[in-house]
Amino acid sequence: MTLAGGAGLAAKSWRSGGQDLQIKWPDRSGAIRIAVNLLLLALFIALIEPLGMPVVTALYVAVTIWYIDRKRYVAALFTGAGSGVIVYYLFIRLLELQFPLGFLQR
Amino acid sequence: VLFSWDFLLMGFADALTWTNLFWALVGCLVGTLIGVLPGIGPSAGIAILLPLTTMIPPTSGIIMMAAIYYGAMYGGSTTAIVVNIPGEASSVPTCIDGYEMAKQGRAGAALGISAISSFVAGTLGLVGLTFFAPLLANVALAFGPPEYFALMFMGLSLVISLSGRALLKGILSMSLGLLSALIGQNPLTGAARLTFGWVDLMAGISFISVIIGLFAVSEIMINVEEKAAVIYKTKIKGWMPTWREIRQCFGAMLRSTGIGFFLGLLPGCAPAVTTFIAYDVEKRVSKTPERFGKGAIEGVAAPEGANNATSSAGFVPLFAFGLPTGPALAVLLGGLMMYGLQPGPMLFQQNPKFVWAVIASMYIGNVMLLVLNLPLVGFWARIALVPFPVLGPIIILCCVIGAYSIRFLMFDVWVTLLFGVIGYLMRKLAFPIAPMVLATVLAPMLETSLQQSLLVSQGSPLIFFTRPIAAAFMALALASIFRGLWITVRSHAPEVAPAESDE
Repeated sequence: MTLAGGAGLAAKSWRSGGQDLQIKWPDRSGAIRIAVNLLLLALFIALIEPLGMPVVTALYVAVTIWYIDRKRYVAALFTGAGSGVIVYYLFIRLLELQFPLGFLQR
Repeated sequence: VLFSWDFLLMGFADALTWTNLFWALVGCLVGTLIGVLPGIGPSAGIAILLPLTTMIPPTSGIIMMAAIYYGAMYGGSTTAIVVNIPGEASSVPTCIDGYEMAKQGRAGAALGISAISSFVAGTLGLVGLTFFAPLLANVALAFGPPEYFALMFMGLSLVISLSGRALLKGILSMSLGLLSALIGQNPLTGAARLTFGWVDLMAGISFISVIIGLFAVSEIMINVEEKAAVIYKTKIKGWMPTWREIRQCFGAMLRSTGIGFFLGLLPGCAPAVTTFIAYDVEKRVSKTPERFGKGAIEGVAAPEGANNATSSAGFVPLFAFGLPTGPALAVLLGGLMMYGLQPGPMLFQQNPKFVWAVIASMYIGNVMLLVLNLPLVGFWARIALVPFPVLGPIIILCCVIGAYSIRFLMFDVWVTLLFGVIGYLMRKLAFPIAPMVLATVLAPMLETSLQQSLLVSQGSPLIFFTRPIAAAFMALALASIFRGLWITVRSHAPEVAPAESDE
């Protein structure tokens, strides 16, 4: 019964999906920025298990800040390294959350 | 009787223990921070922290998350006044006169009056909560599954019809939310559905990853798209408004409390809605309406009062019925359920210690926020100037940590990313997000009460119309939908994108 309900809802959303939509899509450079950022995020998530959370965190934060604003490479380096350290000491050591450690395996 | 002074005093005794005071303070600080920072709102903030709070006692956890919610209402005004960027959607009207005042060199007075007005309205709203919630809970004791189903149905339809002129999009957004919540096992029979044989989907999709994705990740994506680099400097000096100005705003505070509180009891009337109404009313009753928009101090006091009164009021239906009025309270409801606490009248009966401790902590939290905000306004304003390129990745990092700590599964992180993309598309296509969030959180309860009702009535849906209370709710729900439909059909003007709010 609930399966049918779910299917019905899906059907409904498909049917009225053809409403007139005025879409304000981003311009080309905006689209590229979003795509690259999404890619970075996906890479981040994918690499958490093989490389370990602290290392990937530092890399992700540093690279993303640098990508969004090239002039901030110093801030990028420090924020990246800082977040990695915070993730390791605050979340993994202090709060004992079970993040994959990768090659930092105790 | 569900209210007595003894309960309230007992609540204060609980809320004043060091542990609970500490977590209330943490909540107030995090809430103000979230309110100050654009790009992350209370819903996303609470959702990110929710999995991490499982290690502290339930009462402290909920005290902290409630403090985040009302704390964000204080923080949102800071950026609105200082840099003309509302930290939250509810602070948009504050920008109008607040930023004007700042340009005239009176930023300090504007920030001061917004903190004072927030405190007055928030506390008055709490008095309302203290007496209203047990009263309504008493009524709700008579509710059975059909009444609950009708109530939630009404809540959802109000959220849809108030979410703007885009009724169909509201309905679509809600059905997407229901659909995502249906994935996994049937709560009564345990049958798997919509899993397509995928083992990871058996346990369902966590509403936390849905909300983190919809609110936080998509917001960052919207921000990434524009190359916004705002550098602005306002000197804040003389942070106190004069006594004459405070007296001048007194009427505005009281009126906005009334508006914010009573509208705030309705599902769909999030602070983002009531602040606009309060600002408008204040402009109309003013003897000098021409001052509005040019730095009228009442124009700051009114919306700031209204959003705090609304946030207090939202706890009334949440505690009495288990019905959230907006996304942030829906997340809080999810938090309550995670702790195994079923909000509603039974909460007042079975866990009075818990409810009253949370309510009492909100009085204390409001005092904390006033103390934190008046002298620290300069500090918060400086935090608001953290550049987005640095802030964005850090928020994303918090999202990933929050999503991963739900069940320590990478799967949840991927789901969050997916809903980030969905949320981004929904924002672009002007779909309201609130109905989807409410539907995801309410779906399990909605479904359980529906199935129980149908068991009682042996499958006849007429049960929702033959019992008087349920029938009244259903009638209200249908009326609000038809009203929305009528407006949609009648107006041929291009649809106005609803102001998306994260509270």
